[in-house]
Order: sequence, then structure tokens, then C-alpha cells
Amino acid sequence: MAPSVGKSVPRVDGPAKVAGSARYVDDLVLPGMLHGATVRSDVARGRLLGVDLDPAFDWSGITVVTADDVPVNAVPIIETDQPVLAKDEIRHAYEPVALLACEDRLRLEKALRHVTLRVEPLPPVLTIDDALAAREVIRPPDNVFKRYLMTKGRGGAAVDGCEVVVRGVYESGAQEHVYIEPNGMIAFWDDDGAHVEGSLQCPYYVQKGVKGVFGLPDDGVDVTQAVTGGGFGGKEEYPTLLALHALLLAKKSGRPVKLIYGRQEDVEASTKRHPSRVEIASGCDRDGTLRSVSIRVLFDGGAYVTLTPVVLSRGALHACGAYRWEDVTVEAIAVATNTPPNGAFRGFGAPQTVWAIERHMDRVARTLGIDPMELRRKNLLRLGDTTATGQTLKESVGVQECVEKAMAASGFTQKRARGPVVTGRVARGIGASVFLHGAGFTGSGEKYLKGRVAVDLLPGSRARVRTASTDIGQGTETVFRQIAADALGVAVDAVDFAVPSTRHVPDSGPTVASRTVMVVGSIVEKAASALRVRVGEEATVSGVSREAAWDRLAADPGRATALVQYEPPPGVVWDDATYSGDAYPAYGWACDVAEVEVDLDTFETKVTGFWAAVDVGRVVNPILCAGQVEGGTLQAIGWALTEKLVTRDGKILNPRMTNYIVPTSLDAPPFTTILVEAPYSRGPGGAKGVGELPMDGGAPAVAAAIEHATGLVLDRVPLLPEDLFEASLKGDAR
Amino acid sequence: MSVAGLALHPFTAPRNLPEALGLLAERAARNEKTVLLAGGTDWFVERHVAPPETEGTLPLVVDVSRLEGLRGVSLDGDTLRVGAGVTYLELRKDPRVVARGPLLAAMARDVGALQIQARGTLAGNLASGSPAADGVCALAALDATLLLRSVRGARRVPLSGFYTGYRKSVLAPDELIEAIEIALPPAGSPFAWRKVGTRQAQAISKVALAALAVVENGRAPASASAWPPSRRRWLSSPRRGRSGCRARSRRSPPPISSAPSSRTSPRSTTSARPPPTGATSPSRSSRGSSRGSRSGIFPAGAGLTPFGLRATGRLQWRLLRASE
Repeated sequence: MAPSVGKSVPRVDGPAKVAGSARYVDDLVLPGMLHGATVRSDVARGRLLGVDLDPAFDWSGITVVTADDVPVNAVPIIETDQPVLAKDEIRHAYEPVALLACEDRLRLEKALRHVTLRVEPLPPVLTIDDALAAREVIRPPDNVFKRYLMTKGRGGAAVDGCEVVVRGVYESGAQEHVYIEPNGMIAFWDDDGAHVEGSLQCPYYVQKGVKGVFGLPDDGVDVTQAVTGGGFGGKEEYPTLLALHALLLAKKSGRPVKLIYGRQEDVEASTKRHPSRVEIASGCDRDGTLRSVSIRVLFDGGAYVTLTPVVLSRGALHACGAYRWEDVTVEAIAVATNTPPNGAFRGFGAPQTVWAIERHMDRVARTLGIDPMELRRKNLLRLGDTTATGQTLKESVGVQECVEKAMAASGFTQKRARGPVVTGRVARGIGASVFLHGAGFTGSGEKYLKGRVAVDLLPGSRARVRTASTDIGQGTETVFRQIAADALGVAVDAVDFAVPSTRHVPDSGPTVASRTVMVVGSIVEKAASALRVRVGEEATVSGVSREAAWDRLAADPGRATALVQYEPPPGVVWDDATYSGDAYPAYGWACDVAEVEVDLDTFETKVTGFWAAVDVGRVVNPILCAGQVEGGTLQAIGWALTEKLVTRDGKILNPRMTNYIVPTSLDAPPFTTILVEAPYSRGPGGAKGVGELPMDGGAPAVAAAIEHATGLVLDRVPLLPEDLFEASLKGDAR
Repeated sequence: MSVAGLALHPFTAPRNLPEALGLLAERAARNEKTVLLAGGTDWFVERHVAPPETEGTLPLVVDVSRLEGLRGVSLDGDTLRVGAGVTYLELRKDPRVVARGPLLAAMARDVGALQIQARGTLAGNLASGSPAADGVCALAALDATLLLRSVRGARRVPLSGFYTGYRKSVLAPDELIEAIEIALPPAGSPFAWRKVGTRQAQAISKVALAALAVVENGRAPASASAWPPSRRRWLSSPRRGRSGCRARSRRSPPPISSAPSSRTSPRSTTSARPPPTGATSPSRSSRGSSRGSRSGIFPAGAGLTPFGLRATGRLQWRLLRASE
């Protein structure tokens, strides 16, 4: 059987999604089902005095749930500060306070208008600066959720003694995921316990939440992933809340309940990318050799802790970029504000700090008067170098090749040297970024997680992969089949993929952190290889054909399955206390080049070309892999150029797709994607993560290109035409 | 709100125009709120951000989308009449509009997505009164007249006299827009249409520009309309949440036709105003010669032109060239 890894096997889930036969959660109907809805606060901060139901309204057939109905009113994520339903305190403007369910959606809609919340408003904390000033304390003692300090060498103290010192402040705004399918969940109870099915990334996260709130054992909670229309991290921690809400309504009503968010409710209430401010002071020699850097990272965590400490950690660990520094200090702080909790989003903190360090590299190059890519090349991490956490890079560093290929393909050097090209009222420029992204969980994460995968032999030389890794549109189903098929020596279509449900898949860990192929894929490979050996041995021992041996094993429940647990690579050492050691088992590397045209009358920016050279270790499926790169890059271009979340008093003013503007295919530049393979010895076939990497470098490359075209130095995304206009009025030209 | 949520509202669909006008008159006399529903592409979306209405005060929704009296495009000599119920899709596919009012067709192609074009109407655009309305901009350049009708009779109002403020117009509570009338320029008159949104398509306009020229004696005096017409009035309203208002409200570039020029067309839809003081356009050399230069295109204090509208002469030339 010819290997399938390395081939563009068509997506297995594609036909059903294209033909419309795939069943998403809103397509599911259960007998006697009620529709659920959420009553939310509309002030950012306040004391909840009461929930009043209009006595004049007919409440028959309507189920009402409040905090009093919640067994343990705390969503267990990292901490337990977030209530399932607010009881006394309102901490953001879309805080869920009560739940309603009714068979008739129109009556439900009317009932919502007859619930009144009595709230005594309090002054809200709405920005990072408000939070740090701590005039109002919403998270004792100082509004800080989490603080990290990371040092290397003499720390940032050496900056001031350097020949050339450059300082800069870089900011980024919130970003909404805009997955095509909003959040949704359907729930019911029976003698076995709680059942939920919905749009989600991490079945075992939801299970943990339900167990904690309802006090149930593992086998009392069944969580199943419905076909999911995109996640990007937005369905990592948030669906737990929906599952809890749907289950509360189902429990009280004794009926199945479906809870589906409309787009506006989804944009308002669900998580966003953390807004950030990053302050950098760096020192280097006159020839551009980087020496020392001092970085302060500030993230706005929103109202509750959720995943903020981990997002902040990844942000801090990527803050020094893909470069060698002798001395480093990174201080990272996440603060509490009265905005909806910010959470997981593709890149998970790294896009914010990569944006900052890459813009800073351009600033250093400008100060020194040298080409920005020359500066980067001079200081790139190489094999054998140590990173800011003191990790020695022992293998799989393809960054040099990425830089060379992206620059050659785009003609960067010539175009850059030529200067901005102005034709009529349109200026054209080119810019680049170089970056890395740690694949898999940070530090000791995978060691604690102990992800597991099962592969089963089925009759007729077929097999089935059972894993909690979900396909949310990225192609997991397809690439896991490829990996298992090659390890078993069968065709891809001889491998099935079990619907992820906690009832019958082992806990492989969450579908996050670019870990699916690299970590879970390696367990799939190991389990499938074990079965191949088992089949061979059975054939030898019993003197039967391979097919007969396969069927024999498939019929024997004791021998049909290989259940394998992840073993972290030996020699990986991480110290959480000092924040030093091997931060990630491997890194993806990349170089992005963007070419833009800026209309000098309207300040519209059009990305006219984009080149990405990406080191993914080993390409499992070229089309899917390039799809990740292009999709992630377009999401980064959206963050850079169009996606601006406008808020006032903690409320979102543009929570709709008519005014929160994501790029369409017309805004997508022609992509040239170059896949580089510097294999990682522990990934399946050498593969590393690719899901998040392309989100990191698009924004700084685009900003650098705009700067090249117009001379405007822009240190804050997003960059809408009005932002460029404002910058031009301020004379931010170099 | 989706179409499903329409059932929350009291709703009626009159069979003909007189019945609709009668209903409007009755409700206006009783001071009751009425919503005329054509495409619904603004109204449905705005329900999401409208203050919550309690059941007793919900407006009556009157579906006028199928009223025969509001439908159809007709051409009588040089006068184009567009019924209030005509959708953008009908408009841009109508051969008379394509041949004689290509500016309207070009505008209609840029409104929303195809689905919006199939439901939305020009009259709805006028009645909503959004400063970002693409249709209103094009109609302003064409010097359109609105035919308003009530049980009291019909009246014609030039578009330039229709609006009285942010989302406010002279339309009386018992009146509806029956049709839009346009005295067309000669066939083949040069025109230009450009809208600027946050992305390439399907975005609300930040600024739109419709321009039209009538060739007389081989020279082309231009009529153009930049929308919104008066920044202070339209853009400083606190209800506008969209970003970008500040940038545009900072300086008020005059419409192209206000440039002091002997060629100003009598078709101009806006009164002539002198350009703001200090509004000289930056010299060509400071803006056009930066090729190869590392000094940047926007030297500090160069007096940058918002949207270029101040550089009237050159912009006109460019727009006219673009349409040829």
C-alpha cells in the first residue's frame, strides 16, 4: 500500500458539508424539545438586587432558571470565579442572569421582554489602564489575574548600556472568531445522567464542567460533538457554559432543551482575543547584533479568569520572537476588566507579542538605517542556540530556509530597495515578518495531560480511530485516517473516525495549541503501528493469512484495540517556578511577506500579494496544510485591516456581521504558500503543529508594507482607512 | 430579528395603494406608529439594536412590497421613473436603466450582497435616511425628485429638499414615497461611481462619490455628489457608532461642484460654497515624486487631503477618465 501521508487526500467530511446533509446542532430535533434563551445584564458592573417576572404575563409552559437552581454555581476552568448564572454581582454587560425555555419560540421571545433585572450599577473598569490604576478593585487586591517574570542572562538591565537603544509601544485590539456556525447545544437527562451534544472543540472540557456543577461521576455525563462549523479557539472553553445552561433548563423542565445563539448574541457574549499593549526596550550593537531586551506585556483578561493565565504565558514565551538575545526580561501581566471574558483564539497570546516584537524589529532597523530583513537574518535563532527561556534548540529549525524562500519568491530585496512605488494616487510597498510558534502545550502540559488514543481493528481489514480530537473544519478526520492507514498498511478509506463522544473515545486532550497532528497524531501512529505488529504476529503464530488474522483479532474484544498514552519526549525539562527550560517540544517557523497598495485619497489598503514560507516539520496533507496557512493568514489580515470591535461603556457597538467586518474572498490576496520540512523526530513522520502559526505573522508584515508604501509608522492594529488617515494627520511619518 | 420574529409585531398587507394610504392616514390621525416594510433589509437588522419595545407599543408593520402602484420602471422621453418598490436587482437589470442611467446601475451593483439587492429598494434607502446610503448619493448626483403621496394628494420634492437632519425628512406620517423621478442627462454622459468601505465589497460606505458630467460644446462641466453632504450635520450625531466618523468630521471637504469654477454645472445638487481656508491642494511634487525616496509620502504638516476631495480639478479629471 502506497503511503498516503504527503498526499492531498480529499477531506472526508467535505461532501456532506458541501451538499448540506451534515447535521449541525441546530439540525437536531428531539421529541418534546424546548427552546432555551438567556436573560443577560445590560450594565457592565453592578449589584444584582433581583430578577422580576411580570405577574401580568402568562408564564405557563415556560421554564425559568436562576442562580438558585444551580447546584454548584461556579464554572470549573482554571479557577472557579465565573458563576454559571450571576447571583449577586454583575461583572460584564452580557452576564447571564436567568434562563428561559419554552416549546414555542415566539412565546419565548415575548417572555424575554417580561423579565426585569433590578441592578444597582457600579462604576466599571473598562481598560488595561483603568485596571492597573485600581481606583475600582474588581479582582482583589490589584485587579491582576496573573503575572509572570521571565529572565535570562543579566535580565533587561543590560539594555541601557548597549550602543543603540530603541523603545516602542505596540497595541492590538480585540478580535471576534466569526466561526460560520454560532455556539449551540442540545441537552437532556435520563437514568444514565446528563447528555449534551453541540458545537465544541473539547468534549472532555465540557464533561469536566458538567461533573463539577452537577456533582456527577465520569459515566454520568455524556458529551458528544455535533458537526461543528469552525472554532478557532472560540469553542474551547466557552461551550461549557452553554452546556451547563441547556442542562439546567432540561433538568428543571424535564424536557430536552436546545440552546442556539444568534450571531449577535454570540458576538456579544462569547470570548474574544485579548486586547494588548506591549512595551519593548531593546539594545543592540551598531552593526545590528541584538544584545538585550526588556519587555512588558499587558493583556486585558475581561471579567473572569477563564484561560487567561495560559494565554498570557504563551504571549510571554513568544515575546522575544525568533531571535537570539543574551539578556532578557519579560514581565507579563493580565488584568481584570468589566468586559466579557477574553479567551482562546488561534495563536493564543502569541499574535499580540509577535506583532509587537516584529514591529519593534522594523523600528530597530529604521533606527540603524539597515534593511529590516538584514537585521532579522543576522539575529535569527539557529540550531544549538538557546531561546529566552534557556531552551537549547536541538532539532527542526527551518527558519533560515523559510526566510530565504519567502524572500526569493516575493522578490523582497529588489522591491524593498526600489522604495515605495507611487502610481497616480496609489502607493505600493512591501513588508515582512519572521516568527515562530510553539507546538503543543506549554512546558509540562502534555506530561500532566497524558493524552490517550484508541485504534480498533474491525472485520474486513478495516480499522477505527477513537480520539477526543475534534474536526472543527481543519481536517483532523482526514489526516488521522491518513496517519493510521499508513501505520496499518491499509487504504485511507479502510479507516473510520469515531464521532468524538466522552462515552466511547478516550481523553486525548483538548483540540487546541496546534497539538492535534503533532501530539495526538503521534499517538494515533503508535497505536496503529502496535496493531499492525499484532496482526503480523497473529498471522505467523496461527499460520493464517494477514486478512484472516485481522478478522480473528477484530472478533476478540481483548485484542481488537490498542489504547496508547502519550509519552513526553525524554530530556524535556521545564520549571514553572522560574519560567525556564524547554517551553515547547518543537516550534513551527515561518516568514511572511506582504505587498500592499494604499490609496492615498481614501486610505484603503489592499493586500495585493502574500508569500508565506512555513516550516511544519512534515506535510501530512498538502492542500489541508496550505489551507491552514492561507486561512490563518487571512484571519491575521482581518485582524490587521478590517476587524475593529467598537465598545462604549462595556457594550459592543458593532456585534453584527454588517458592522464587524471580516475579510471576504475579494479581500484575500493571491497567496504563495511554500511548505518547508525540517522534521521533528517525535511528530508523526516528522510533523509539527501548523494551526496557529499563520495567525502570528500576517499583521506585522502588512503594517510593515503600509509603512514602506506611505511612510506612516503604525504601531496599533487594526488599521482601518480612518486609522491611517488619523496617523497621517498626526504626522507619524518617519 | 429574523423574518421569524416578524410575528411579534402586528402586521398587515394592504391590497392596493389607496388602501395603504387610507391606513396610513387613519394611524397618523391617531398618532400611532407605523412601519412601511419593503425589502426590510434595514429595518430587520436594526431591530437588534433598537431599544426593546413592549408589546403594547409595537408599531404596525405594513407590507408595501407587493403593491402594484409602487412597482415598475418607466421611461418617458428623458424622464426615468423608478417605482418605490423596485429592488436594486430589478434596477440594475433593467435595460432602460443600464442604457440611460448607468450611474444607478453601477451603484445598485455595489449595494450589499446579491440577497440584499434582491430585496432592498431605493425608496427604502431614501426613507431610512442613513448617511451611508449608496442610493441617495447616486440620486443626489442625478438631481432626483421624489414623488410623495398621501390621501391628501401627491407632491414632488427635490432630493435636495427632502432631508431635514439625521434620519429626518419632510415625509409626513401619512405619506409614502411612491416613485423617484429623474430627468436624465443625454445618453452617453460620462459618469463615475465609487464607494469606500472597510472591505472590497459588502461593507457599509464610509464615503461614496457619484459624479456625472454633461458635455456642452465639447467641454464637460461636472456635477458630483459626495455623501454624506454635510459632515457636521450628519456625522456628529451620537447615534452613529461606526468608527471613522471622527476622521471624516474633522474637516469638511466641499463637494466637487463647489469649486469656484465657471464650469460649475447648473445641475449641481449642492449650493456653491467657498472651499475651506487653506484648502490648497498639496503640490504634485510633494505627493507624486516619492518614488525611490525614503522620506515618506506624508511629510508632517503637509495639509493632507481627506479622501482627496479637495483636489477637485484633478479628481474630476480622474473620475471622468475612469468612465470613458
